[in-house]
Amino acid sequence: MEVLILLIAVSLSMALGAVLFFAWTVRQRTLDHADRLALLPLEDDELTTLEPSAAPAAATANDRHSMSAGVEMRTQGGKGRKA
Amino acid sequence: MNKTRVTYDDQIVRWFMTASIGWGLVGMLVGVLVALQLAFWQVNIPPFLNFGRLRPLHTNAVIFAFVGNMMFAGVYYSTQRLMKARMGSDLLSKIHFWGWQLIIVAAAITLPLGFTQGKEYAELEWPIDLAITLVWVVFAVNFFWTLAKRNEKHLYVALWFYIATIITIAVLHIVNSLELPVGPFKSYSIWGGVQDALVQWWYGHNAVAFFLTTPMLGIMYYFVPKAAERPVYSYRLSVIHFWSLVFLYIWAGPHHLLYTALPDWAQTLGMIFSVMLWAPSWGGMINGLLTLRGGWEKLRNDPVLKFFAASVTFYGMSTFEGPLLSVKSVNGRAHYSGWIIGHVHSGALGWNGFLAAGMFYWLAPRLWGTKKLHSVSAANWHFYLGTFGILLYMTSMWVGGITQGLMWRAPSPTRGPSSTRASSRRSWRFGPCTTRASSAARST
Repeated sequence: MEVLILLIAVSLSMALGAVLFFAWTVRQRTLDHADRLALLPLEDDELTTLEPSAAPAAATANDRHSMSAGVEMRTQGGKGRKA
Repeated sequence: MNKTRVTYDDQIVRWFMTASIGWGLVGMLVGVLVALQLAFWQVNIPPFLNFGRLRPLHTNAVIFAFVGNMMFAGVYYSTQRLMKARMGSDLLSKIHFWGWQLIIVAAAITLPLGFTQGKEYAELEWPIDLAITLVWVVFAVNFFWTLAKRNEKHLYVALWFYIATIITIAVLHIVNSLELPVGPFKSYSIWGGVQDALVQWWYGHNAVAFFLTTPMLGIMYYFVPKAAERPVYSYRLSVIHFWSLVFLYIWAGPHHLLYTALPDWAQTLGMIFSVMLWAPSWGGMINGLLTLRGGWEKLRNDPVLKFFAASVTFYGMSTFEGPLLSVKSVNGRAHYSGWIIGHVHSGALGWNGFLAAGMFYWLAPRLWGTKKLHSVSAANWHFYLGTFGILLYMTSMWVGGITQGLMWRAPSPTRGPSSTRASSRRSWRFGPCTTRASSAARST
């Protein structure tokens, strides 16, 4: 029976955690973006574009060379398509 | 307006996809061989090619080599696009790929040689367990690195399924593989007795949940809308699907241990959570199928959508059958019978295999720069042959397995009601019976 005390404590803390996480996600307005997020997979892979402000985040060692004006998405290895 | 090009790493997707197809052929051929060994004992070639050594090779090859590589192909392709960022490190991607292939080769060598922990789906010995942990950490670091540098603030639901996969598989593998090595290829689990059984099936069932289901659902939520060219039916339902599924699945393992030494309350807990899984599983299945709403006419001509529609349907069938089999009274008849084999193959071939086929047929022209499939007709043949084969497999195993279970429980006309090794534990629940196990026990 001692394990019941542990189980109840763990269950209550998980339930409390879930409520807090729910409150957090509502405050973040995460679900407000559901309609836009539903369309995310449908965006054309070949037209992936980023605003200039977002550019630094994308500029890794791998793709820094590819930053320029215009829109282009390439796949690595020379066998992919060019937009 | 200045815009930035994002160069995606699709080389790694091509590698994983090719590996999946290659290992899939190997894994399924070994499956055919072990099936022949069950029917014709002469096909067993002791000691290396016995059924007992090849069966784990078949399961490991299909789960971790075929579906595993397919999962990584889908995750690498969709993650980069959903995050609008290249993977964190090309080097880590390559280490992940080659490390995973080495692990598969090590399994293919050690299992026929008889090196095994005897834990289902976790047979590989401790050096390979360590390698799995390292390679999985490499995958996790690469994924979360990409997450950290993403250019899309909000995470599409597929990414949540991937995150759950990465975290939970790590926890499951580490806890179940805690062992004491006593030699280069021999170790003993730190768990003992019924605790060992519970940890093993907590791992074993969640290998199904978090290796064969959650990443596949992420792939479904990305590739089905992509192929159907319409958004998922309900994005909010997909979020509910995710949270309810990951919360419930982790508790369902004890249903593998019904009528064992596991405490009865734990068995009941496993059964109840398994039955509750019906709701999120079918919510997800309906969400996937309704994504095709208004586009059913495309199914006539597009093999990709055919595979996806059938795959999601098989997901629904498997996740109906699973909770049903976990109900104690049903399990008393089905466990150890061919019905279980039919169940796992409808999931592995119908759900995972057809999702893989649909994804590969969608990806191949895009990854290799061809405009369309080499032969749509061949893809259609693949679909119809596969569907017929899986349905034949399932129905024959239903008939055979249920007959098997009923015969094991039938009263013996010569011996009358019996109390036996298998039946003594449960005869008070089900009434008198004679089982194959009991006959063997009596004769010894």
